[in-house]
Amino acid sequence: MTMPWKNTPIRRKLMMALLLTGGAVLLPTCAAFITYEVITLRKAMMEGYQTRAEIIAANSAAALAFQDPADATRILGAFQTDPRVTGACLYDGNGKLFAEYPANALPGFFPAAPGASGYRGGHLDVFRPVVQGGRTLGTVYLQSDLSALTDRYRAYAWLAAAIITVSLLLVYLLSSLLQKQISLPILALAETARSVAHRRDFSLRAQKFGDDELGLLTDAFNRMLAEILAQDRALKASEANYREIFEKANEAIFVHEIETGRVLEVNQRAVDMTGYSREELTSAHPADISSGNPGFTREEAGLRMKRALSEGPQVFEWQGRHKDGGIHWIEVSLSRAVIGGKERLLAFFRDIGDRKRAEELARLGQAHAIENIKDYGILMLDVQGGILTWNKGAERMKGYQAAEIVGRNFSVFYTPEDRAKGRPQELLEAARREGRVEEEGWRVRKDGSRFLVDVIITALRNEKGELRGFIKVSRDVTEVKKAQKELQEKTELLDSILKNMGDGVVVADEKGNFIVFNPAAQRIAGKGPVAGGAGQWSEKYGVFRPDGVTPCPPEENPLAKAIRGLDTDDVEQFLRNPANPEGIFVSVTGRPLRDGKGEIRGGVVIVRNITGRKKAEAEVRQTNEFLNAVLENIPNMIFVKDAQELRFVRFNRAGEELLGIPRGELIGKNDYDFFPKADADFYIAKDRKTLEGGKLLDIPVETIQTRHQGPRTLHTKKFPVLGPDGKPQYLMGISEDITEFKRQEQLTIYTKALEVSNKELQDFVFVVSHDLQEPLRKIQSFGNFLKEEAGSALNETAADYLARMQDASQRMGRLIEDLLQLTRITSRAKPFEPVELDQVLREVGSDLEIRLQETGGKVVAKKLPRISADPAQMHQLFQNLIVNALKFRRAETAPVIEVEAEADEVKNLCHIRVKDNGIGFDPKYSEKIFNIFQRLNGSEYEGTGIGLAICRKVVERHKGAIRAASQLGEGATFEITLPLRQS
Amino acid sequence: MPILTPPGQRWAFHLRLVLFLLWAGASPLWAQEGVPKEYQIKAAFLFNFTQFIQWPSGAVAGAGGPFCIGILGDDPFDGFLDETVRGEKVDGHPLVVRRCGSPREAKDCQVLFISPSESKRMEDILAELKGRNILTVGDSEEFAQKGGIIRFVTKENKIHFRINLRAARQAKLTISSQMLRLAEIVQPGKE
Repeated sequence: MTMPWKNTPIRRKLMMALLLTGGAVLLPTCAAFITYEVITLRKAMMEGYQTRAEIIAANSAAALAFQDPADATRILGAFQTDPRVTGACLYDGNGKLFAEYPANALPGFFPAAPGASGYRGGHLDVFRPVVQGGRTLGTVYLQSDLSALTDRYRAYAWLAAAIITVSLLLVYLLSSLLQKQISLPILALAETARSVAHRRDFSLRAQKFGDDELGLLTDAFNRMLAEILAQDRALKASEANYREIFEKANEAIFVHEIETGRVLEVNQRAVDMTGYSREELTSAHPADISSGNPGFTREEAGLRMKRALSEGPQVFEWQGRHKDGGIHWIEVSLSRAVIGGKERLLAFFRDIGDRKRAEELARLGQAHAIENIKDYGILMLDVQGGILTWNKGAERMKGYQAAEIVGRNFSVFYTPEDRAKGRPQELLEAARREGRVEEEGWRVRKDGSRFLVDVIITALRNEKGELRGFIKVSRDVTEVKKAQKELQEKTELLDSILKNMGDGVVVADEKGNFIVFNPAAQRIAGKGPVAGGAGQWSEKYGVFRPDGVTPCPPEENPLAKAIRGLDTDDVEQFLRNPANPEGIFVSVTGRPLRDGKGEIRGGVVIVRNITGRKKAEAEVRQTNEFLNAVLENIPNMIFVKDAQELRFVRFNRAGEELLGIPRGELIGKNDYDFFPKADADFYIAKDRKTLEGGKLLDIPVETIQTRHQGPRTLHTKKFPVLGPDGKPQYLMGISEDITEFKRQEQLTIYTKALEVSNKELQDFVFVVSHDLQEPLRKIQSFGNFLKEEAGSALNETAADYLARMQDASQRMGRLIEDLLQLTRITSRAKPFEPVELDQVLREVGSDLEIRLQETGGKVVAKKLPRISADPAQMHQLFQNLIVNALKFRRAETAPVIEVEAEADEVKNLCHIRVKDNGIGFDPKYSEKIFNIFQRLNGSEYEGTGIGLAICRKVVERHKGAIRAASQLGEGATFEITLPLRQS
Repeated sequence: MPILTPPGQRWAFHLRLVLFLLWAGASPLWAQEGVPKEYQIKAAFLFNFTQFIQWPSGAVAGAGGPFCIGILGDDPFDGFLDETVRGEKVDGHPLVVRRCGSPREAKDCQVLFISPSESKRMEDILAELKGRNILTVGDSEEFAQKGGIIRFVTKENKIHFRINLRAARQAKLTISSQMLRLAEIVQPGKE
């Protein structure tokens, strides 16, 4: 990027880059395109005019050959149609002008003689020879201006401008859409970076838009933030550590401002040592805590401080004054230090009261007093270091009796190494020079063991200032150091435990100040310690009751309770805070902390995140409920038996309903308690087989005795349910009641078989009847022939035989015809259609007109309805019934047949009654008469015994019913019920 | 010009002048200006006809055979025709001029110029040549009406030609449209 772009926003940069790229692509493309077009255009124009010149040349051959300039001029005149042609002419074979266009061309306009084609000046010259039969008869010349070219150039220029404009516009639109893919994540990143910089909140995270490089950048940035956050926390923790050391140090520490000498900060030890409060000390001056005795004045203190600043660290002894006025000795160490980036003067005070007192005693020569001091080894040395006195403390420390050590040189206490270096003499020399020397170092006891001592050697001088000897005060600090080290190790161990344990541990003192707040606790609480007392903890850390919405009242807070002396055991609470926005469940245990006297000094809580456990518990509960619901509502019997004794342990509702045994009665019992032994043996055998096989066993059919439904057929599947040890623990079974299904299956098989046999029978009847007709017709025909040929020649008996034969064959024909009709009712059935029964009856009446006249009978019909039926079969039904009535009329009585009907729209039924006044029949035959070949009246009446069978079959095909009622000699009534509409 | 002519060529110039005067004097009939050129142009036209007319295949003797322009009767071309066709070819056939005394002699010609000297027996000649693939050309009165194919006509000092298309078709000759455009088309019977 160039300098002026430096501060342009990235959106604009991207946009400009895309636009420039687009432009950079488009311009050369357009230029190349136009260049190519210009070259081709010029070539095409040249070729075009050459072609036209060629045409003119071909056309003007005859004009030239036969010297007809007028014709040639006419041909050239064709150029009028092209305004771009500014002139054209023909030269004859000698190169002389033969014809020209336009006619009024200025002299000298055309070239004097033919030349070469080409672009010249502002026009195009084209020459073309006129050739006929291999001879050149002349030349055509054509001149065109270049307006065709310039027009096209202009058009290209416009087109190029338009393409570039539209393309750049498209690039602009597209890029403003697409550049967001890049600029949005960058802007989001920049926004996050600005927020972080502005608010110094390292817990912010940049939003990630994808896994491209920007996504990586965002991840890296977020990781960086996380590291900064971690470092920030570590820094705070380290600061807290230093603060702890500062506060727990055994020396009083004062931090002074260099410019004014004002005390900025002091530790607890300083408060203890001086008796002043922190507030008093921070406003105090060194003079106030100095004794004010000569040599220990305010001015002297100031001088020492100045020296510490200018010359480097100062260590000196000083007299301090306690707030209660007591004077005490301290050792002051002054040094410059940089704290929090600023230069400070640090002062360390160490209480040296004991030593001072011992020194004082020694100085005063009160050796007997010294002798009994047990904690300090105090001995007098002569100028060379020879031991003069020995006290109890020294004896205890070093193991020598006074008698054996007095008179020897004090260097025996030193290690061989120190002795080799001349350390003892060095110390004496230093004490002589300085007046006093202090050292911590290893010494050797009489038994050879080593110990650490703190030693002060002070030079003793008489009034004249002459050196008299030394006093040496030593203290065994081995135990102290060891204790210090142990304490430190314990503290580190405890810290490590607290830091690494998964449960949160929070300790607060009795005032509610946090003392321990381990990392796990910070994770759970979302932040570390906050100021503001126990009353605000619930609010600040987002503590709720387990319902997740009721804030935990301050008095219920386990830590607050612990401080009040109350125990809390595994109380469940809910926490929702920025670190856990969805909230977590915790289990809290709290205990008060008491000191040796049993007084409460604070409280401790242990907080455990149980969200995962809760969630798992809820899931298990849900799964169980779901499975129970499935089990109870499944329509199949499900049972579970224990794998050992095969007693029922689980049984569902479908099972209860099937067996008729409530589960309370069943659970804990086995099959032998409910079923016959043979059945139970079978079930148990299957159960054992399943358990041994270890896989599903399918029992397609088994029978079971139920309490209320008798024996039922079941389809059962059994399978083992494995326990945690991988061995079958339960046997589970699922049984489906397939009794109905089986029954239905059987029924279907019967029906199928019946249908087949019925069909076969019908086919048989049809075929037989059909095939019988043919020989029968022959018998009839030849019978007739016989009668015609030899009728007169036959005697009476032969004629009777012939008549009988013909009669029998006629009857047989009718029988066959009827049988065929019967079979056709189903085989030739037509679809149902609306049928006017009135009309059907009229047609039947007219068909039977002759029979009616012969018998003097009549049909009396009332209005009949329209029904959905097969019209031909309806015709047959009525015809058969009426023929039947006419046939069985009473002698001497004219037959009257009444037909009436009523329609029941609600039941979709039509009741038809056909009543006659004939001979009737015995009611016991009312069923039988509908059977095929059933004739009640023998040969007395003609007929085949099929008519009523056909009637019944027709009615049945229409899903109706037919009944006959009669008393012998009182006529018969046929009642027919038919559906009005067929479904 | 005589002044600048080198002396060595001056006699040649004089010789040519004398020859021209002799020639002009020997042809008193065509003494007017332009007239001597008339048959020169007609000769050229005769040649050009061969370029714009298509003879049916087989009309010309096999490969390399001559393409013949015949002159029936007196030769009015005075050698111009021979000069015009010298070295020329029609579709690879060398052009030759043949002078014929009778129509029979002219039967192998592809082009036959019937001299005005034959005008009296013109109809007989044309009748005899009928059905042959011969382009008959003449310049006598009513030549085309009588069945000749092309007749030269002089108008305003220029030579034009008339074409009897039916005769041309009978002779199975195809005349280029370009040439037809320049010609007058004649219906037999009227001129």
